[in-house]
Amino acid sequence: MDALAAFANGLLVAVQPLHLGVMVVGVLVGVIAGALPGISFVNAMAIALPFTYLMSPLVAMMFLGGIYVGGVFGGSISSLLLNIPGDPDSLPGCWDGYPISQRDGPQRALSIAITASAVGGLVSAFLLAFASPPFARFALTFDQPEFFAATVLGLVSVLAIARSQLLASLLSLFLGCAIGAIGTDPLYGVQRLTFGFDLLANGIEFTVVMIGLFALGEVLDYASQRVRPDFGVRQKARMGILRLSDLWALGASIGRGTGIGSVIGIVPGAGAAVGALVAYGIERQVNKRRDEFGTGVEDGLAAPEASKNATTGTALIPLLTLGIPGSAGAAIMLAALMLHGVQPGPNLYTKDPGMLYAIFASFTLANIFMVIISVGVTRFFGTLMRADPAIICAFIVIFSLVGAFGVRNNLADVFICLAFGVLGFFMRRFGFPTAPMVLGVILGPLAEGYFMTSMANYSDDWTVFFTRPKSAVLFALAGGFVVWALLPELRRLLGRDGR
Amino acid sequence: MRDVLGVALPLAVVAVLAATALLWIAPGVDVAAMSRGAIGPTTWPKAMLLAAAACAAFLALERVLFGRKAESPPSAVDYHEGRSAGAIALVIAYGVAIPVIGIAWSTPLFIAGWLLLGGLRAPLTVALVSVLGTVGLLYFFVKLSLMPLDRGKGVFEQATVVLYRLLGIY
Repeated sequence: MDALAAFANGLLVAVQPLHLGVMVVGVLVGVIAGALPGISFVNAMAIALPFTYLMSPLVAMMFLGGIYVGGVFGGSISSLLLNIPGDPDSLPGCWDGYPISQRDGPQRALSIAITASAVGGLVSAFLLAFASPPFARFALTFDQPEFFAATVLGLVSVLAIARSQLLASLLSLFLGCAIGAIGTDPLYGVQRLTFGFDLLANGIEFTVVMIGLFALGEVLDYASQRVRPDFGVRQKARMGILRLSDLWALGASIGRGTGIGSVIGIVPGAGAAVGALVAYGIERQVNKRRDEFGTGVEDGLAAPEASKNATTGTALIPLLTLGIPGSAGAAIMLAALMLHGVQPGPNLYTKDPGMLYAIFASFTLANIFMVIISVGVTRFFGTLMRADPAIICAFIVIFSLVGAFGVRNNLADVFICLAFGVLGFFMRRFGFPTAPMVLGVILGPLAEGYFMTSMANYSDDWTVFFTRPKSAVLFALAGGFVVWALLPELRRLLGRDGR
Repeated sequence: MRDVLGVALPLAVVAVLAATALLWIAPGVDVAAMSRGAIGPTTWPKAMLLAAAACAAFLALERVLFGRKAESPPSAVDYHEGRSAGAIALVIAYGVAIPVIGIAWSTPLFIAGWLLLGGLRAPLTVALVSVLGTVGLLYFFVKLSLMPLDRGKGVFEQATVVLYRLLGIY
């Protein structure tokens, strides 16, 4: 009952004109960024991040939350209209969604996608609102060793999304942790890894790293491509939500997708792409029309669409309760909170529950506005696609560099951003994952802080991480992740993969 | 050649990371005096660098032992090397030009260069997007957001101030 009352209060805050306006603009930016092939909503969030300095933490979260929710769906628009996924998580939309679009018209495919996405997103937003407070109460019993173990779990869980690139992901992750350690050590006051450069003495802002790797790197990658996809939209696209009878017919697949996405969202490091792919894979196993998948089966579109948006709310559960982001989008929201001096974690639930419930309510509303805004964006998608990508990319570069400058009003950050942009381009080009590096830069300093204070508080006894039950369980989970990620490699080495 | 590079590159990374971990984390600082047993200010970065070096070493070892060219295939995208080099050079040049000639003058030059590189050849479009885009950005960042963006040095700074006055930003 308390939670319901708090949620109702949150709704009252979320519908205030400024808050509602910012959230709607966020959803619009997200849907457009997601829909534009080559530009992901993560880029949009990374570019928008420095500008949230001008906002309060609540408004910043509403804005970024809007981009996140809108962006996760937006990628489906280009998947269904052009057969080009706007984001990696929209790939399953091409497999069954595009054939539906070809056979029954884009209106049918878009209507299934938006309805399934809205259902998944709404359920996920409610889970965030009502399941995260008990989770936070449990996390309040954590001490430094448990937080260190939880952060390590967050770090190693990145392996879940990069099983085929295990060593490269680990290398990227450890390098990110080392980059996060650059600058003056907060405990001892010693300058580390500065190599005599004064500009590194204050450390490297993870926001700048994110803008460089995610936004600048992707733009450089796009600009370097010899052949760019044809963005010509030849069919007029309109959509609406499904009729109740259609929704009933697709209810099972939407339900399965929502359930899968909600669970995967909680797994740190997984996110919408993993959610969509797993939901499609499972639907393909359990659906009675499984043999026809790939030819335009509506369940094959509904399940991944519901799943990817169902990851958005639950991805914030580990973020807000433990300070561990569940996805790249959630990592940027963590960065936004930290930019404003708000440390996510269980204490936030006792210190500022009003802000949290307003965020939850805003997330719920964002999923409703996503439907309305997507209907509008889809109608103007053809016009949007006529904008030359070179023009869009030029402005992304400018926004990225000015955004990097704006983090500390420091020109050095522009050069650091440029360096990470070029690094991001080469990492992308040679198939080296960038997400683990970003996670390392963000979580590395947190992990170090928890580790050092644990050691100081427990007389430098490292066994404390394994003798305290909760810490031991979290480390066991982290170990499980590593073993699970290593399994394909071990099978390959033992020659059991049939090759 | 690619196979040799595939092993040599990770080994070079190992050497750089290991040397950094052992010699350059905090040169000239008496870390031992600050440390409690094994725990000190360099413990964490050293562990991370050595772990990264170990991963790079395993990558090299894997390629030597199993002949794998790469753990994951490079991107299947067909890259235009000239355009790639041009885009990187242009972005870096823009970053370098900002403190010298100021954002107001470097931005239209960058936009024009980028559009030409991207294949846009219509002079009117290039000029309009460059000029109007820059004016819009200056209003947004300098006038509305009050960001202290670089005005450049010497004559460029004076020219920027004149431009801002003409546009009504100052």
